[in-house]
Amino acid sequence: MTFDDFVRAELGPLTRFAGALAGDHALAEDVLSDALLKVARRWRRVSGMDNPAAYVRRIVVTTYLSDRRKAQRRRTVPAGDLSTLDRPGPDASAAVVARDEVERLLATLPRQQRAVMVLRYLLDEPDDRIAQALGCTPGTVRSHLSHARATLRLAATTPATKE
Amino acid sequence: MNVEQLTSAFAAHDADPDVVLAALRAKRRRSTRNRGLVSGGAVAAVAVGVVAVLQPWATSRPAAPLPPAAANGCGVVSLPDTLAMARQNGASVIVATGSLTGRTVLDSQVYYQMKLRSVHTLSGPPVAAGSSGWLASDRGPAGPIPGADAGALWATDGRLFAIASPARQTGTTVGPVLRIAPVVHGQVIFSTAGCWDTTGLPARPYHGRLAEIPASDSYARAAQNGFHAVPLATIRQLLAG
Repeated sequence: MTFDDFVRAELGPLTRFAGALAGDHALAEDVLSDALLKVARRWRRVSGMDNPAAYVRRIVVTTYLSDRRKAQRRRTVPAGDLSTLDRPGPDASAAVVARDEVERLLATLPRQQRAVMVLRYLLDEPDDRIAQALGCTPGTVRSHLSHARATLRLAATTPATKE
Repeated sequence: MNVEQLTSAFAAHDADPDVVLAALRAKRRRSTRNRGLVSGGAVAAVAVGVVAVLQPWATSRPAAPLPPAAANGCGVVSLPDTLAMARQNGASVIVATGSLTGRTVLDSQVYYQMKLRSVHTLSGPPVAAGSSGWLASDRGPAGPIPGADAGALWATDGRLFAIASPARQTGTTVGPVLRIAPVVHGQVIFSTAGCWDTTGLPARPYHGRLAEIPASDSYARAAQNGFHAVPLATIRQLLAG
């Protein structure tokens, strides 16, 4: 399989994975293209692996976790589409509020914990595979999972501040 | 929060495949172009050996001193790899005191001449005190790595760490080209000014004044990504390793 064949076959899952990790499509696109560039350079070795896709996901994770590159990466701020405001439609405020709450809670997670949650809940990876992807021990993975779950549960049940 | 809400949130920010492919193509083009520059440098280095120009910077070993720049301007070449490449390719690694003495324009690139004093060569061909090198740095994105948003910085007292590459290795005729970093109190201050990558090395944040080419904006650009102080002793160990 060539690198281009691999990208064609795996780009869909990888875009979802990078998006879940980054929580921002522009950052996800930057992270994923950087990761694929690294993979392209070592494709001969990667293509001989048992599970190239798993290895590439690992590269995506390490690229995402890299503090230096995080600092270098230019951020973009999504602009609101004001033209949608005058279109009639059903009131989706409840869903928006719920989504916003989830997003806000996820944003409080450290990157390692978020990566663990994505690998577990999006890809259904076992502890040892997650540990392999993050370069840590399964015990550390369980610790990250525990803390992340606790944070999400705790924060989710914390009453909103009354104004 | 339940699992369904969680996975739904995860799925809300998918990267756009077309954007990813376009970005990947652009980054691969840049990477290939920069590797071409490296190859050009290697060819020029062979010519140096044939012509055997006698100068403090001359080397008999073929070399390609420009590390491959990576996707977003500055490269992913770690400092140990950068030093190893410099050593393998015959560039000089020095600590010196520098001061700007001139300026020239060659092939639309502005070069600043730096006179070197109190030179201590850490590895590679010895560099004599009183030698001059050139900084490829000007206002805006310019510096030792083509296309990178870099710059050049040194200490306010002139102390600097440098990789000095003979001109013909870098594909320019201006003279020996310097890739520099400030040296402050025994610490080398690495940053994107010079496209240094200290990932994996023991480094502490640095906050302090540094010197730059007037109006080059090198400090401000590098400050966006932070300054990392690495003991000079660590650099010596890397070079000895």
